Amino acid sequence: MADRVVVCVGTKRGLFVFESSAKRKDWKLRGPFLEGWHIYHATVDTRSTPRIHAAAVSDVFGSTTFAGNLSDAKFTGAKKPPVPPKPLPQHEKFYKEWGISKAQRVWHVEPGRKGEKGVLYAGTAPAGLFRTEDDGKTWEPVNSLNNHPTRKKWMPGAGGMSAHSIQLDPADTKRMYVAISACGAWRTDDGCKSWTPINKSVAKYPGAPKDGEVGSCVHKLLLHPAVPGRLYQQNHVGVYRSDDYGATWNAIHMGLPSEFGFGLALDANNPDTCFTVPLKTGTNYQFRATNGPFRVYRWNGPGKGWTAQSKGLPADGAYLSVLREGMSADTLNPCGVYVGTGTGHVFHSADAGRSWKSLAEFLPPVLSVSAAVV
Amino acid sequence: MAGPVAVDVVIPSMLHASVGAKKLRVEATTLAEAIEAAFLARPVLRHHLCEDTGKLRPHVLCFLNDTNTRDMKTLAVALKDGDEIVFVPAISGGAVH
Repeated sequence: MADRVVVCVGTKRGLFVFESSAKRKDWKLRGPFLEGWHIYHATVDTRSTPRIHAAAVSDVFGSTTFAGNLSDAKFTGAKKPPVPPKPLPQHEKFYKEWGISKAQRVWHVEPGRKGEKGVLYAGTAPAGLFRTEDDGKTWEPVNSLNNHPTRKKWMPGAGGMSAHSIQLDPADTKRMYVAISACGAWRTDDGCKSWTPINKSVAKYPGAPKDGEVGSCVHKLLLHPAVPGRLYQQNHVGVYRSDDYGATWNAIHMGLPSEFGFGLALDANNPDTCFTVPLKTGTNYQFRATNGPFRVYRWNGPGKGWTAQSKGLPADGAYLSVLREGMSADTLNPCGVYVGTGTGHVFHSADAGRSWKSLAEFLPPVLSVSAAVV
Repeated sequence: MAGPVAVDVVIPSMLHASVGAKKLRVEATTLAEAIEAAFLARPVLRHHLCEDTGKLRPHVLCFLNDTNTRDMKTLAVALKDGDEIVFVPAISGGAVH
């Protein structure tokens, strides 16, 4: 039986940590930590003594990673942080026209597999993959991906060009997945020596390169921990599932009010389930808001469609945004689901999305939510 | 020019956890040497304070005592005992991101 559930909430003004027993009824808040830093992502590494790793961005001081024990939250910054590649010259016009930040940012931190002591991966914007073998003190680029021959065709999306999803196959130490907006998803089967784009049968966004497998605007990609090769992705143009390690994808967004969204979460105990928050698209790209009522949608598997989860969520007048790191699920059964919003709200469910409660209100804008069982 | 003196380099609070110190004591003859000595002692400090070109990031200010180094013609100014070099984030706003 798990002792505690920990939810790291990264905001525009620091990191907040919520903890509860496995019942997930009473929550204790700690923080803010790393005040002043934008916490793009924070996760608990549960491989040994639980440690929090955070991807942090400052408008003044650049970007880095922090690590500290969960018990005391005394953080230490990287001595050699990931240094993202610079924006490609051919993207200058695009960045300018769309008002996209060219800042070099660490976007996501992902612990390695069990047994890979001290190993973590980081994704950055502009897109880069980095690896540490000393628990985040020093980072080295994974140039097999960062200098991939197709890089000249990679394009930023409206949110920039970030390597935001890093998923490690728990059963195959040489296989992992990385997703980059707005380039697509990649898989390595040989321990990062080479990378294969895995975007066949995923629709391309308007304006994407027409030929080749580069140009899919994947917003979030997750690997189910219990079924080898089962992947889900929330894309700019739909929600997709793959059962063959990303070689092919099936669209599953039929029945959602919008195919557009950013966040995604999986139920570790039910490989046929995923959760997402569809966002409204519309003119002037005002797409980061729901259209009044706030709903988390649960997919129930092939042929079973989507269920709108509304019990306990705002019924109307809730113009909320959920960013790509803004959803997470714990691994208990039934799973807990956690959603953070741009308004500083965090909603949580302890029954696999059937009912919801407010975990926090009036935090700074939420950039990331990550749950762990320790 | 006199020999090296010991001066303090004050670290912005947001960087204490990265640099591992609130201030660094360095020995140098000039302001430029002192800043470089601080960067050599804690290389991550350069990452956070400087652009790739070596210039200070746009919103980082450096003061020698009460003087903003942006108002100096050169950093090759002699230091004296008790001088303090302070890095601070600039207070700015109003820009549309």
